[in-house]
Amino acid sequence: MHSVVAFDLVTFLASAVGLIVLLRGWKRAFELKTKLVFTGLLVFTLSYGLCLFIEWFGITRALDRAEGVIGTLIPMWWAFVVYAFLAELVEQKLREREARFEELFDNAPIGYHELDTQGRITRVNRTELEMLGYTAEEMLGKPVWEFSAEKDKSRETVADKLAGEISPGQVFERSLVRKDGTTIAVIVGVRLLRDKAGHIRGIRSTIQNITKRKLAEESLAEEHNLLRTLIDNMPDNIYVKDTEMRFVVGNVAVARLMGAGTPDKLLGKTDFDFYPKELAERYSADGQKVISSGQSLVSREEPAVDAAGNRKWYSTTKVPLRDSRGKIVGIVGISRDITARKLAEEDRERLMQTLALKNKELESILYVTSHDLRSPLVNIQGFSSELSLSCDLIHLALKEKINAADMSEEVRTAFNKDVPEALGFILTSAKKMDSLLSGLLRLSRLGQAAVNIERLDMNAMFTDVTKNMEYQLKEAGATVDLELMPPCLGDASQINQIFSNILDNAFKYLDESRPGVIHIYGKIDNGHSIYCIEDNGIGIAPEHQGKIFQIFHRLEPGNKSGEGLGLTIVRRILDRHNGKVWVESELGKGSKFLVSLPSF
Amino acid sequence: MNKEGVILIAEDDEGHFELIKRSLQRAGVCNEILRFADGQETLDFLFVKGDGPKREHDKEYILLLDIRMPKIDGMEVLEKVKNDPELKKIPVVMLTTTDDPRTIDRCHKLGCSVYIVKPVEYQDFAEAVRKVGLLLSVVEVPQIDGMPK
Repeated sequence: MHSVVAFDLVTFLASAVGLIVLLRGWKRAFELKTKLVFTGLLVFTLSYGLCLFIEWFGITRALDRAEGVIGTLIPMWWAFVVYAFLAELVEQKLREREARFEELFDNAPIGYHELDTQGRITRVNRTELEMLGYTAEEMLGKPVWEFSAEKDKSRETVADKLAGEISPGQVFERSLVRKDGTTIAVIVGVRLLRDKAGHIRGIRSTIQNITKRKLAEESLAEEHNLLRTLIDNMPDNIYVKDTEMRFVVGNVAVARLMGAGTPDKLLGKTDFDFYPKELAERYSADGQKVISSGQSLVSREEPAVDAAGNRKWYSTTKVPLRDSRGKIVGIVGISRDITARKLAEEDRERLMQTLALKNKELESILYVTSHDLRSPLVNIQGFSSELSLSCDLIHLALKEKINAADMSEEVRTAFNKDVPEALGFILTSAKKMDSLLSGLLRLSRLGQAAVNIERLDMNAMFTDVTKNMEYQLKEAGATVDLELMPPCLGDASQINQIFSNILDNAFKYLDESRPGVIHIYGKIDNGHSIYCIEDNGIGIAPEHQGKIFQIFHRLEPGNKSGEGLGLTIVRRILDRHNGKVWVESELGKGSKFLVSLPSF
Repeated sequence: MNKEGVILIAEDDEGHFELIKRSLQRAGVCNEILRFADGQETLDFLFVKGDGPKREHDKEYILLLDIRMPKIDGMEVLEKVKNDPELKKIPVVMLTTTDDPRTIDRCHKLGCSVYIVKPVEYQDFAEAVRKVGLLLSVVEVPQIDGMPK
C-alpha cells in the first residue's frame, strides 16, 4: 500500500507539472490574444483533462500500475507538446511585430538616425539613405557632421546636444551633402536618448527633406524681387489698395508722385494722407466704385496735382483685385503721366482754333475785298464811258463850230487818239480787274460751299460735261472719245466743275495744225477712281508743269481767254475731296490730266 | 407808277448813284429821285424820324437798295421795311455788286421785288438800269398812307 501511495505521488506531481505548463500557456495566450492560440489551448486542455480523468479512474479501480505510469506520462508529453507549440506561435508573432517595426523604421516618410555619445551614426533608416544616396555601410560609424554642408557648425550643435544644452523638441534647418555632391535642405528634429539612470546615451534625429519647399520659397522670393524691380522701374504709377483704399503695394513712381519718398512709407496710408481733399475724395470714390461694381475703369484721363503742386494729367486704369476664391479684396491701379501729351493736345487744339480763325478771316478778307473792290470798278468803268460819251459830244460841238484846220496838231491828236486810247486802257484794265476779282470771289466761295458727298455715276457726269461744252467742241473742231467710267464719291456740282475746267483747257490749248482728239478714260486703282483726260494739243513744257496749278498763272496770257484760275479751282476742290490731280505732258504732243477720287 | 411817284435810291457810293441816275434819266424816267447815303438815312425817311427829309402821306414810292452801306446795311433796311405792315407795300429793287447766291436767296426770302447785280461793264450796267427804269414806268405802285407802327 505504501508503494502505491508513493507511485501515486509521482503521478500526482507529473500531472501538477503539466498543469503548471498549461496555465503558463494560458497566460501567454491572454497576452497574445489570438483566437488560434485560445482554440488550440482549449483542445489540449480538454484532452489533458480527459487523460487525467481516465488515469485517476484506473488508479482508483486499482488497475495495472504500469498502465498507471504510462497514463501519467502521456499527459506530461501532451503538456510539453502544447508548450513547444505555443512557444513557436509566440516567437512567430514577435518576429512579425519586429518586421513591421523595421518596415516602419525603414520606410517612414522621414529620415531617421541615431548617434552614439561620440556623434557617430549607429542606426540609419532607408529613407535617409535614399535621401542622401549612401548605403548603410557608408554611413554607419561615421560622425554625422561628415554629411553636413556646414561641418563645423554641425559638430558644435551635436556636441551641444550631447551636453544636454538643447531644449526638447527643438528643430534645426540644415544643408546636407548627398553622395553625388548636391546639397539638400532638411529640418532636423532631435531627441536625446537616456539610460534608466538618466544619463545621455546618444541622440535620435528625424530628418525631413524641405528642398522643394526651400526652392519654392526661393523662387517665390525671386519672383517677388523680379516683380518689385519691374514695378519700381516702371515710369507708370502702380499700386494696390485694399477695400478700405489703403495702400498695400506702391511702386517708386507713385511714392515719388505722392511725396512719400519711398514705397514702404505709403503702406497702410490712403490718398487722404497725401492729396488735397477733393482729389482724394474723387480717387476714393472711383476705387469704391470698382470694388462695388467689379467693373474695371480703363484708361480714364484725369487731372492730378503732384507733391510739388504741379498740375498733371494721368491716364488711369483701375481693376478689381480678387483673391483665390474670387472675392474682391482691393484694387490694382496703373496710371500714366500724360501731361506732355495733354499739353501738346491743348496746344494743337489752340493752334487749330487759331488756324481755323485765321483761315476764316482770310476767306472773309478775300471775299470782302474782292467784293468791295468791284464797287470802285463800276465807277471807273462807268465814268470812263461817261467821259468817252462827253468827249464825243465835245467833239461834235467843236466840229460844228471850229474848222479842223484851226485845231492845232496836238489838240487833234489828243482828241482823236490820246483820249480814246487812255480811256481804252482804263476800260481794259478795269475789265481785267473785274475778271480777276470775280475769279477770287468764286475761289473764296468754293471754301465756303458745303460739300455734299454722294456716289456719282461718272458716265452720266462726263456725258453731261461734254454736252454742255458742245459749242466749244464744235468751234475747236475736236472729237471726244469717251470710254466707260468707274463711279466715285464726290459732290456732284463740284466734280462737274473739275472736269469742265480740265476739258475747257483741253479745248483751249489744242494744236491748230492737227485735228483735236480728246480721249477720256478711267480705272479703279487701290480704292481710288482715276480719270484721265488726254489731248493731242500743244502740250506743256516740263518747267511749266509745276506752275499750272498756281493761282492766276497763265501760260499764254493774252492769247487765250481766262483768269488763270481753272486749275487752281480744280486742285482746291480735290483737296476738299481727298483727291489728287496731276499732269503728264510732252511739249508739242499733248497733255494728260489725271484726277484721282475716292472710289467708295 | 405815276409821275408823282418818288424813286428812293439808297446808295453810299456817290458815283454809283450818279451813274444810276443818269441811266434812269436816259431811259426816260423823269420821276423825282431821292438819294440816301446809308441805311440809317433811308430808314429815318421811311419811318419819319430824325432831321432829314421825311416820307409824305399818300405818295407812291419805290426803293432801290444797295446792300453794303455804312451804319445799317441794305438787307437790314429790307427786313425792317418788309416787317412793317404799311411799308412792306413799297416795291424794293436790290441793286448791288454782291452776286453771292446766299445773299440773293436771303433777299428774296425777306421779300425784295427784284434783285439786280450791278455789272462792272458800264454798257451792261447802263442797260440793267435802263430796264429797271422801264419796269418802273409800267409797274403799278400802291400808295403808302398809314403811319408805320
